[in-house]
Amino acid sequence: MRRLKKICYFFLLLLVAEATAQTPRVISILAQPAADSLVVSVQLADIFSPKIVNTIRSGLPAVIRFDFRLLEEPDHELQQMTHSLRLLYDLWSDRYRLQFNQREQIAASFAEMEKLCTKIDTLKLLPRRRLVPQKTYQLRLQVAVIPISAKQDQQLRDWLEVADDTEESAPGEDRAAGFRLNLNKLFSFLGGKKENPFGASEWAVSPPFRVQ
Amino acid sequence: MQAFLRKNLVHLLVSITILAAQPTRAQAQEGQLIVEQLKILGLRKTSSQVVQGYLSFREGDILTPELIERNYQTLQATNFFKQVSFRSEPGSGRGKVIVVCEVIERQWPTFEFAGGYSELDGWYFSPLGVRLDNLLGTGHWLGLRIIFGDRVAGANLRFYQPNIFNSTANFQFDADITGRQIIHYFDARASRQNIAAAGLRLALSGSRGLGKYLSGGLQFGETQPDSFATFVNRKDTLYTFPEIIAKELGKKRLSSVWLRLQADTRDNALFPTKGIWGALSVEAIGGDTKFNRTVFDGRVYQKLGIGVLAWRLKLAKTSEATPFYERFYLGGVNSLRSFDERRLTPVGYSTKLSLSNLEYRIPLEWDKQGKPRFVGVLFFDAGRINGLKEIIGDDTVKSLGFGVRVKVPVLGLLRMDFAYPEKHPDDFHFYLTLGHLF
Repeated sequence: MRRLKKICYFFLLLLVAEATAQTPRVISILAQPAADSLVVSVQLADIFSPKIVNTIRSGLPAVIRFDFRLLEEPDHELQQMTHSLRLLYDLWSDRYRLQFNQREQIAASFAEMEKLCTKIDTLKLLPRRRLVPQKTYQLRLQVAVIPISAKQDQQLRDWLEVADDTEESAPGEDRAAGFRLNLNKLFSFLGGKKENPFGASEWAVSPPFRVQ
Repeated sequence: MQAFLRKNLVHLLVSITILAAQPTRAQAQEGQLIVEQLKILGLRKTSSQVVQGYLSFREGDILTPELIERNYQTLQATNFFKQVSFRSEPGSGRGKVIVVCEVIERQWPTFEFAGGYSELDGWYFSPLGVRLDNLLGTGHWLGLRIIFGDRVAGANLRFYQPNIFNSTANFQFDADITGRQIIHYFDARASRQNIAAAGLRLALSGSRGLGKYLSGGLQFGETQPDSFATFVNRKDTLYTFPEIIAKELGKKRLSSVWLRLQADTRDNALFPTKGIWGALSVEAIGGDTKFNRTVFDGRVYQKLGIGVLAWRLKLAKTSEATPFYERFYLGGVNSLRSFDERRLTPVGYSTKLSLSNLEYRIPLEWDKQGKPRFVGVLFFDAGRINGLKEIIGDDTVKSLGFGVRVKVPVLGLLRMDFAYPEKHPDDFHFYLTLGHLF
């Protein structure tokens, strides 16, 4: 009985640890067709875990990745779009640099930088002409914060793109060129295994919208 | 006076010794980040030295995001870990950084499917290979795979241990059992002869210093060619070989010692734009037959205009006593294009070979990683082999051609070449294979 209790506590602790592992949250997402493009406003919370804060404060960059999916109702995915916001703390001038959407903003403090990151306004996502009038659309969004390099968030996808090309091991030996497919990685990829070791937000969905 | 000198001399020597013993630490200059400490977390069986051996930075080095990204990819490629991540923490002063590398070790074997094209064996597939890399946490590679192909069937066991006994030397052991078919041309008709072989190969190489340029090893093997060859059209079988082949039909045990001098200064292994890759290998073989073999293979890459000029020169020589299956051949997709596989090889193969391939590679489209995804190629091949005059009436054979290389997910680089012999430009050959020629 005592052993059973211990096992229950252990699993409870695991659940608590999983629940308290800080991942970003999408508070709201609003998509609005404007004059020439589809414009999105996003509000986030809890974007910086202590590990990310430490990385930024040490002077190395962090990337906030916005993964958008345009859906046509009822649930047909039309397009995937990714936008990245790069953050860098300049230790020498004590300023935070935010590069997003081909624009750079400077923040004087961490709090100011966090405020700029949590509220993204009027992000032009795609040309309005791509949307068909009278059809109803929705936008899904997942946000991930990755320290140092965005590559740390897409290891399985990268691996599939960059196959394990092989060449002969030494010149002079009989020439051989080919590929090696790691089946464990392939099954992980097909199984939709979580790729980002730093966690990502849950998928958030915008209210339905139409082009008039 | 003497006492004063002695006292100060001792003081000076002690000061020099202390200064020499102090590690030289770079100070962070404005705009620079310096690695103050490296923390490796998550290791359960793997020695931290194994991870450090793969990392290209040390404490005191200048740190950039690109450096971290390269090291992240290197650790990922080892296949020792299910997950690798890098983050950082502020160090003791401005610009000093604590780099944290966190890994989750792989506990189970990995399985792989492999394939490709080999100059020796043609198309091959390994439907299932099992890898037990880093099983003991020492950073070794251990793999077993079964191979089937156009002209080959067999199994290979490979063990590779980098940094043996914490040195910069690497040890490799290979055991093979294969049945392969070698191609002969008799009266311009292609035939195939089976050769059964089993062998062991031990190799020692290095990753730094002299060992980076020098490797060597031992090889032991037993070979048994079939006493007949089947013509490719399968209508008839040849039982009476010319003397040069007939005398080598018995079972032979051969052992060899080999030494290789090598250099690699390429900027990228899969699409080099500058640098050289080359080796001179010398082999002394004993056992049932005694012979020597020397092979030089040099490749030069240089940016030129919008593309890259790539040149390969292969020179090879072996003793007259060498059995035909240990000699050289010419012709084919990885040799001299515009001729069928080994079509330019005399009966009984040859003891001397020279081959030169010149390519101008023009990248036409790039992928997300900045690597060429679509490459156009113009090429010129020239080759000589003993006995070539009896086959084509000339000492040297040349061919020209063009091709494309397309990067394909999983398969890697797909190569398509159109090659024309210099003397008969209407007789073009088309090849579809994997990887660059060199």
